Order: sequence, then C-alpha cells, then structure tokens
Amino acid sequence: MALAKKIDHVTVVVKDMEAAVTTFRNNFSFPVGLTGASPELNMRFTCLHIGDALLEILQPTNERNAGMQFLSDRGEGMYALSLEVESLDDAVAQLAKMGISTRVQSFREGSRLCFISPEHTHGVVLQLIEYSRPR
Amino acid sequence: MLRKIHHVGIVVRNLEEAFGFYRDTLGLPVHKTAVVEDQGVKAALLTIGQSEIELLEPINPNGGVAKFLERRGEGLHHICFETDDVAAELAATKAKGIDLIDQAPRKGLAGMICFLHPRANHGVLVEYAQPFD
Repeated sequence: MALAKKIDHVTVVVKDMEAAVTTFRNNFSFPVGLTGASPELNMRFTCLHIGDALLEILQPTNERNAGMQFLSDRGEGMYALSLEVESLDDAVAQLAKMGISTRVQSFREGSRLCFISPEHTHGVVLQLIEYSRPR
Repeated sequence: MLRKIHHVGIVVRNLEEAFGFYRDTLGLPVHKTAVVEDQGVKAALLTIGQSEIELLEPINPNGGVAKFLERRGEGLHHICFETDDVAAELAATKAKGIDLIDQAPRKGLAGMICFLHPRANHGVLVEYAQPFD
C-alpha cells in the first residue's frame, strides 16, 4: 500500500504571479482554480487545473518565504511537489519508523500537511497533504 | 488537449539509492525502467494515482541531465503533460511562437515525447507525452 495516493500539486515559484498565470494560460489553456494570498505564509498563489492535479503558481511576497531564497539562488522554476495522503497521521507514523521526522502544520480550510526534508527525498521539497474534504 | 500530469521528473545521482525513498518508503510501484540513450539517462517510472514519478540517473557525462546534476544537484527537473496527439500538440505550441527544444516528437520512456524550452515557461522544463499503450 503506497503511502501517498496521488500528485496533488506541483509548485512553480515566480517573480510575478499575474505574468506567469498569463503565460501558462496562453501556453496550455489550463483552467484557473483557487487564487489568493497568504500573509502568514508570505506569498500569493494561483492554482491552475491539469487533470486531477494542480499547478500552483506561487509568488513569494517577502524573504520570510523560502521560495524567495530559491528565486535568488536559481531563478524561477519548479519548486515543490505535493502528494495527497489518506491519513497524515498514518503517513507521519510510517515515516517515523523509517527514521524520517516531519512536522505537521495546518493548511487551508482544516486540511493539514507536512514537509519531508530534501535530504530524504533526493533534493525534492516534498509535502504530504491530507484534505479535510475533497478539494 | 493536455489531459493530465503524466509524470514529474526528478534527477538523482543513483537510481537504486533513490528507490530507497520513492519505492520503499513512499511505497510507489516501479512501472518501467529503461536506458534512454539519446537523453543520456537510466530512468524509472513509478506509479502514483493517475500519474507517475520519473527518476532520472545520468549515464552520459555530456548529457543535459548530467549537467543539471552537476549545476543544481538532485531535485525536480521537469513536468510532463499527457496528450492523445503529441504531434498536433507540438504543432499548436509552435504556432503560438513558444520556444521549443524538440521540433518533432521523438521516442522516450513515456511514449512519443517532446520538450519545450524552459525560458518559455518561467524556468519550467515542460514535456508532452503520448503514451504508446
């Protein structure tokens, strides 16, 4: 039984969210989904739908967002991969058994997520998400 | 029409070591492995839901993947969208004046594939794939 059931979203970090959304809409015609700003996470985002997953276009709004460091280190590009799990508690327990510690955080609308350090994932910023209800 | 994420490509130093996390810890089944000579890689596709995770180990030091690994280290490399008709999708993309890497579809691990230039997509390397099966 796989720990994660599907790709939830792929995050692309950009300097200018509106410009990037225009580009991805023009190039691929993906429908626009949830869009907003998260002052506590220091970013703005727009989600584009592709099949059963999302492409999240994320613009860091200040240096407290880790994406800002990514932008200055290597420029715009793919930043993170998010996978959906049935039960975050089960996933965290299973990871702990493998010697991987994670920290659970709250996410939008009662959903929860955890990050797995890139040292375990071969360089990928990987997050696991459990939705409180179908998105 | 682009239907879904076919796969997300991750560059790793060593495929067997990367299986330790993606196959054994995440529990994703390995669907296919192959050497893709013209991309200079040994690659594996692991199934996750309706999509896959592609692990890429460079085997040719002059290839693009080897250079990526040298410059950036291990990590996210590209995203591949699935289409029913890669030739038509590529022609439509070309007609929009979008920068391409491949001018014509070629054979890849995921099927008939082509790559767009990352400068056309805010630094994201995008692939289209029309699976064989």
